[in-house]
Amino acid sequence: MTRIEGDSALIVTREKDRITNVIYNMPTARDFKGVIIGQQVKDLPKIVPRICGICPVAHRIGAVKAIESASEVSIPPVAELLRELALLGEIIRSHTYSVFFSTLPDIMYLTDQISRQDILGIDRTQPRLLPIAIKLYNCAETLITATAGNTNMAFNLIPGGLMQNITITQQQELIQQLHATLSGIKWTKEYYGWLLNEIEGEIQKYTLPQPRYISCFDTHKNRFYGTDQIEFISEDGSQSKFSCAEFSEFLVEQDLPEAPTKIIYAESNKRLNNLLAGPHARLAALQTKSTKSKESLRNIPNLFYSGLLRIDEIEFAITNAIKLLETEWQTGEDVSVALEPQISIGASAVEAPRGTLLYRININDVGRIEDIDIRVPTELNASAITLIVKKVMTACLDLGWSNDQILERAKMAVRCFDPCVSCATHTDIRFRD
Amino acid sequence: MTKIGFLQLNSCSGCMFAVLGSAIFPELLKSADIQVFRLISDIQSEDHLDVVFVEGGVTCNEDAELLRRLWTEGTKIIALGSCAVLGGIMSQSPNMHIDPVNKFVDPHSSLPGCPPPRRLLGNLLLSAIDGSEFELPEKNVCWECPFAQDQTYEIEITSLHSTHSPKSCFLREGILCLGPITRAGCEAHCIKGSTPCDGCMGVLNGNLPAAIANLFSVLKVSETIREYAELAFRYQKPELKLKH
Ligand code: SF4
Ligand code: SF4
Ligand code: SF4
Repeated sequence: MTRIEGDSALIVTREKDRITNVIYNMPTARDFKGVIIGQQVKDLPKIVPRICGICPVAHRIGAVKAIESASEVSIPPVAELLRELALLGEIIRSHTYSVFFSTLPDIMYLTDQISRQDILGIDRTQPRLLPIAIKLYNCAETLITATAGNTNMAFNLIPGGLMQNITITQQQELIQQLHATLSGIKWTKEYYGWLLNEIEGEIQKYTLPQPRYISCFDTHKNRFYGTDQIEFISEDGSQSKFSCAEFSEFLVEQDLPEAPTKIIYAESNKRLNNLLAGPHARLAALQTKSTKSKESLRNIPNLFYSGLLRIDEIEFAITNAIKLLETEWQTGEDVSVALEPQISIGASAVEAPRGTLLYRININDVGRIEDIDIRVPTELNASAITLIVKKVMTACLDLGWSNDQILERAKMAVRCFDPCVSCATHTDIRFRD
Repeated sequence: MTKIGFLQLNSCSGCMFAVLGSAIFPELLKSADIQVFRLISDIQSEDHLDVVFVEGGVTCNEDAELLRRLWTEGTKIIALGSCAVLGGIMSQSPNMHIDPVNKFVDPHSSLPGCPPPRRLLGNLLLSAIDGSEFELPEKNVCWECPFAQDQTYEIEITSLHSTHSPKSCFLREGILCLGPITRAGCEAHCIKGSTPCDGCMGVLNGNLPAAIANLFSVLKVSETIREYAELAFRYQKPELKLKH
């Protein structure tokens, strides 16, 4: 697979006119569990950002929130606000990569806009897009650096709160830089919407049947920082909730026989199901809050709309970051509370760009990590990825397409999920010969 | 045009995202012929590359073979980031084995850092386009640190973590900082962000265990800290001999 973060491959079995099996294989193992167990608790936030180069802030926040939950401390409101701002920066950065480098080349290719299916192909046809992408990416990195300390380790975010607050000068500069990106993202949204209209017929096969959304998005405060309650939302808008401390009971991991990684399914539905995390799920959570009608959720689970939802979330992140900086942020040095890790268990949930990220840690009597369980969004989405790929390939096969054409469409379907393979291969590993 | 490749081995993609975020990246897209960069393009040709940037450590035979083939074909191999140069964070895994790139080939140049520092990365990418030489600084992190003038080795080191912005050198505040033995280049990035250095640029002189032993022989390090060896070996296995 190309234009995906990390190393993955699709393995498809075709028997005559049937697709009999699809495996989304993530062959690289990264033993973070082995690295983490035995480390001092306070080192956990320094290690986990290395799980993923595109969402290190979400991992850092997952770790510090889990430590804080184990120590039963509440952090000052300004610390939570700056963490949210750092996450908004990460949403902008990650979605910018996904939209401009991964899905736009596909959708422009489908609409015959480009022949070379990448950012260079885009630049030759629509030179407005690359500068917009670069401006967004840079703005996101400035926002993350100001609030989290740096773009890859987020070392300003510590157990107990923050190392330091931002200054008024930084606040003003951030607001200015964020404003300057708005026209570009609005233009991109219109352009993407136009492209989608052009291929309405083609994309129907990318609709996920009866999705079951999972989200911890805080719909009261509108924050990716999340709540401790995880929501399952069905297509008809019905909801069920569980506490993030109990996630191992509700989200069961299953080994993939062909890979050192795992997929996750919901315990109440033991067959491989259509669990979907990420922008679709967050929208479902928001819509369920505003109206419980089935009508409001219509059309969401089409995977080609994911790109549009990501553009929406970029715009939301920019406008919300401006609002938080202008109206809620406060100066002051009271940004953390003291914390000494005790023997205990802690858990956390946060919305990473790709969806719900869950942490659970056991701390032993000498302040070291005894055990850790991390569930990442790409594991949550893994069964839906194989399901949609099979559906798309079967539809293409019925149209009599060649293997190459069919595989191309399958890869597009995978990219719509924006899978984060580096993240997903972090887990309990098994070694093959 | 120089034919360039970007390869990802066992990694988090953080170094490649640092490339995407680099100020020189738009220029690189236009003035180099990028033949492999799986993160952004479907075009994948590893044949006859002039330069290849390698992110991540080596954990399987296929990756080792690919590096050897490229090297034999005369491709300049550039190890990018602490995983490729030192083995990186995964070196601490008790279950898997990871090797740096220089275990299999002799890199033309190496830039450590997790991920590599922005300014040096810009210079390195530029060197791929214009053929200029790239060199790592032969100094330690303290040399770039705003607190170097009040450094002292006299205070007992009792902590590994800071919880506030330092007013002086971490060593003066009783917090262990690996700045004295770590190669410069990051402009004391972490210290400026209120976090002591944990050595991601790799050791400046000799091998890591010797450098740690030297540092601990001059510092007054409390017994509890001495027991906690993990910090010192966060980015490479203790037995590794560095070859720059
Ligand atoms: S050096 Fe650091 S940023 Fe680069 S791949 Fe390794 S863990 Fe990621
Ligand atoms: S020991 Fe650390 S804080 Fe002190 S001068 Fe060196 S790099 Fe700076
Ligand atoms: S201060 Fe140390 S750990 Fe931080 S970037 Fe520089 S070398 Fe790496």
